[in-house]
Amino acid sequence: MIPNRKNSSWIGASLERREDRRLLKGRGRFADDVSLPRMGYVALLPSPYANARIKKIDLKAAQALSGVYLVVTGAQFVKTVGPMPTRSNAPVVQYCIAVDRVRHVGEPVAAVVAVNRYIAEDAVELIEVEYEEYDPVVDPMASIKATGNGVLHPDVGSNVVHKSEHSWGPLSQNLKKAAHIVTENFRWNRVAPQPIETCAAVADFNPAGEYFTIWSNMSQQSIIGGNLAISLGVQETQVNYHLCDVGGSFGGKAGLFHVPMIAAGLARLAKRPVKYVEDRMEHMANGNQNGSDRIYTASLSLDSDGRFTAVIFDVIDDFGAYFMINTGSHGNSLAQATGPYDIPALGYNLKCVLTNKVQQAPYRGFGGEVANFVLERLVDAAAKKMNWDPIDLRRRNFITKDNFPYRIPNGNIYDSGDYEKVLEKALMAADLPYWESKKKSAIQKGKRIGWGISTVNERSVLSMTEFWFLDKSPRFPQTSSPESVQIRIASNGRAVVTIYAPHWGNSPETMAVQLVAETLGMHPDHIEVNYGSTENGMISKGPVGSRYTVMLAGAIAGACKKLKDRIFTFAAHMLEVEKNELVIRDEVVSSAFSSGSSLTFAEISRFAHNFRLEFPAGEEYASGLIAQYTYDHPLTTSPNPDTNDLGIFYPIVGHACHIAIVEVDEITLQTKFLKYVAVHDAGTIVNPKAVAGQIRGGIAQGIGTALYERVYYDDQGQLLTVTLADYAIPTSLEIPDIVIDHVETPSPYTEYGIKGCGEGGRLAAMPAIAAAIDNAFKDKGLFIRELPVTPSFLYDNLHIDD
Amino acid sequence: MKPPNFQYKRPFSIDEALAIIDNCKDLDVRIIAGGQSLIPMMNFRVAVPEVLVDLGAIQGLTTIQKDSDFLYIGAMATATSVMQSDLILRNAPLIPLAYEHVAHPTIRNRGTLGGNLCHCDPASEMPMVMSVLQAKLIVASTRGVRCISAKDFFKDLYTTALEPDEILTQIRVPFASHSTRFAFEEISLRKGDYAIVGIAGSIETKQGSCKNLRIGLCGVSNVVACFDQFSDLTQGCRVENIPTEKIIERVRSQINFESTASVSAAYRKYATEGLIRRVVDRLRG
Repeated sequence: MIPNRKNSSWIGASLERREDRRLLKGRGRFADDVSLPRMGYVALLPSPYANARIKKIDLKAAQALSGVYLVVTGAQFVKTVGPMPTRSNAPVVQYCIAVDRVRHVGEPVAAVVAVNRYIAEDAVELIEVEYEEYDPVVDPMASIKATGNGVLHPDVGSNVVHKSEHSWGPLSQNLKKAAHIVTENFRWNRVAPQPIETCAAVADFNPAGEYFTIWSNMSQQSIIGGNLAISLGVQETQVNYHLCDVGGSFGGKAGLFHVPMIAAGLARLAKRPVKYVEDRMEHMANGNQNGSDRIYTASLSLDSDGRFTAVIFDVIDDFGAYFMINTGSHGNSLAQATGPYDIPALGYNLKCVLTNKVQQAPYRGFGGEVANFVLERLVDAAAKKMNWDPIDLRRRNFITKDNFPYRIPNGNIYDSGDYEKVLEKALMAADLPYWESKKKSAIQKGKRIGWGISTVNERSVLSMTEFWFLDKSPRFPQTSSPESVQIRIASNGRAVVTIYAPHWGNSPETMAVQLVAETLGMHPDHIEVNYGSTENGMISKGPVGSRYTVMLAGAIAGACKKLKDRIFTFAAHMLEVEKNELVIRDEVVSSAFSSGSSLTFAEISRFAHNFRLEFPAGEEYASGLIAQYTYDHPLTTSPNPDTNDLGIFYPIVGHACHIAIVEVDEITLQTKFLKYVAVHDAGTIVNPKAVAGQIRGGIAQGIGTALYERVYYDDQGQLLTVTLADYAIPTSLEIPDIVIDHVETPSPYTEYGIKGCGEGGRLAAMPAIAAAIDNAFKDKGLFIRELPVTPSFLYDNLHIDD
Repeated sequence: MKPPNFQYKRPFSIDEALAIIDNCKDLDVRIIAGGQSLIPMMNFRVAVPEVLVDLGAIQGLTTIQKDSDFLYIGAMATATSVMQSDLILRNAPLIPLAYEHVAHPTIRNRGTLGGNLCHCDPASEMPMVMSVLQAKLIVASTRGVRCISAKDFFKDLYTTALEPDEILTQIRVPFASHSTRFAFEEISLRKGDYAIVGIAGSIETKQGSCKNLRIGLCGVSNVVACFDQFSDLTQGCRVENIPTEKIIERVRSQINFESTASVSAAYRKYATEGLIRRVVDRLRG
């Protein structure tokens, strides 16, 4: 039910999600729901080896199988479909079907198009490949020194594809002066988003116009349209890309598009529409969707009063076999590298290495969650070493609320915040004294209770500079990240909003409805939302980097301003008053000064659409009521080429405090949540229920990362986690009820003061959970440096028998 | 993840099913019950049967009955129906106790007890539970019917005593006397996952003294594990005095704990000892 809120009160209302109407009725339209006449189905032959040369491929038996339309090798495919786009610098070339060499298990070697997927898989089994096996390079430390066939891309020359060292602020002075320095090593293991819907595409090629039509759940369509076209060897105006409902992205579907590229390339070769839907094994082994895989040595220095004076991160990141995202996830780590704390100096030394594993892609947090984990662990390590209370230590170092906007040493700024208030709310809700008092009686029952806290920032509204600003000579220094909208008032007075970003399980339609209702003074039921394909589309970056609602709000504000002007132009003439005295209230236009006549949107629009001759000549009275607007990032600046100032690149910064209270069984060493509190400040909230959903979902994934999930490769580069039985995503049975509360500190830079909140749950959860487990084993001096903390991991780190 | 072509047969009686198997002697025939293990194996092309014989249409294979000595569970009874049966709860409470740890409702609604036993996965709870309960398995072929004790039925990893032409039709579970005590404990990473370690225990008590201690383990070794050689430790013992540590030592000495990607051998050993202690403590009352 829509609450009865009148005029300008739709922001802040927990409206039911517009998307749910069709999804709950089973009427969503996903890529796999698209079916075209004569359509063929794709299956791919995956490499069984991590590192090998392809000597020979025999397709004859597969080609001869009845029901098979097409069989191609990578070498054949590459004649019409070029390498995948990459942000890497120098380019690390990646083909969507391997050419000459395979670099990870699961990399496709050949493709089949057949009458159905069953026969396609039968044909795949008939393809014979001769490989020359090379020793796999699995350990990132070994990869750094690898030579010969251990170098994955001989043309790049080394497996170290990026190396840079940076310092901002008085780093060496502050380290020299420090009263204490804590240094710790951390290992951040690979996890993966594993959305319920794998990557999928249906592609059709019309040879008459040399025109591709693609339906896919991958990527940000208006950005990839052009890149996909380049790889397909056509103009971007020869590709139309349709959006579908998506069963989860969590960042993973933002980047790569081998799936639509394979479908499109095969459709052209097979001369028929083609569907390619990854199965779970393909998604796990070749989805190009693993998160960060990092080895850290990190230090935090403090003065004698317990004030942080510098933080320094030494990072080695194992990107897998390719380097599509370049150093983007480290740019992201740098957006809030000093956290919510006033730390004047920052060091960041980075080595990106390649190994024989599937490559990385963005995953909710995109490196920001890793940096948050490391910094929060350092704070806990400092508290432990100096025997300070971890809450007091945080409080002592918070940036205070009158210090915003706050510039961090590398040049990014934080727009606003009130960290103390968030902390107070969280402490109130968690009631730590109560849990402390329960610890003793729990021990008698063989249970250990522990609590942990994290206070982290939630950078939002990304800027593209983070992908390249660490490069010495950036190859494609993109700076645009716009979002667009078109709003039309139909002749019946109702609004139709066209958006250009995909629905990835977030709430773009609900956001559009509420924001237009608020801005235009309309009832939500009178607003429809649809999606533009690329050929009908405006420029859009889509929902990445916790940006979509903020950017959509900006675009909607701009379009509504134009639209209002149009409405007032027509209304002023019809009411015979001046334009500037008109006001809108609940879809009714009237004069603010006279209590005379008024017009509904429906009445105005009926005239604007049908009765041109009732209005004077002139362009301002042109028929129809339609407005388009493209909104650019509200505040970014260019980085300095020598990287001593990265510029403003992630300035809309929320904040969160999570408190986890856990119980660990002494015998099983299983961790269970007794309470979980999450207080977030994401600025002005458009829909509290949707924000709570984002927070809960992010925490669920955070719990997965903290306690359950890990992508395992063995020393031969064989992937051991190829099903959802091996890769343990927590289910609803593992996720506790989460107490959620909000603080609203509006951003001074965005429409309505909204901040992004799509990643916050996962940006905050892991350090709180790790600290809670530490706390449960305080007497044993436990300090978690690696995740997931499975029972076995906990046992091995506690050395109970020693 | 699609299976290659296969023939699909859906007989209406055991005799018809057996006749199909007889007629397909030269082909790879697999019986399908609930399909919760076989279908994924077929989709992964790990199992590639040429003929699939579905027992789902055969009347009478799902009934759960009893007489004065035994519970009779039809091989096609689903996990859910077994788990929720009052007859079983009253007469073999270890079964529903263990089923709490088996998979999830959607899988239990389709998966059958018989299929679960024939799959013979030593990480699975039911083969071990049936061993502890000393169940008997009734199998039929055109050659006749035979009765195999659980101990002899579970041979090895994914290997039972079933001949290629035999079908498991019924599981007979001896009644638990009122003086028999049961306990079950399990650790899995997530609820419903395969056990890292699962332990079942049963012991009979008579006027305070006890006999026939049996301890079953799943998840820790490559065969269905049930230990019953404890009489020297429990002889004449009052149940509350059975020597826990010696029992643990005896079980532990017979297991070779191994590491897997996510579980170290050391933890598995520690957890196994801890759970046996819990199970024995529970049996002691």
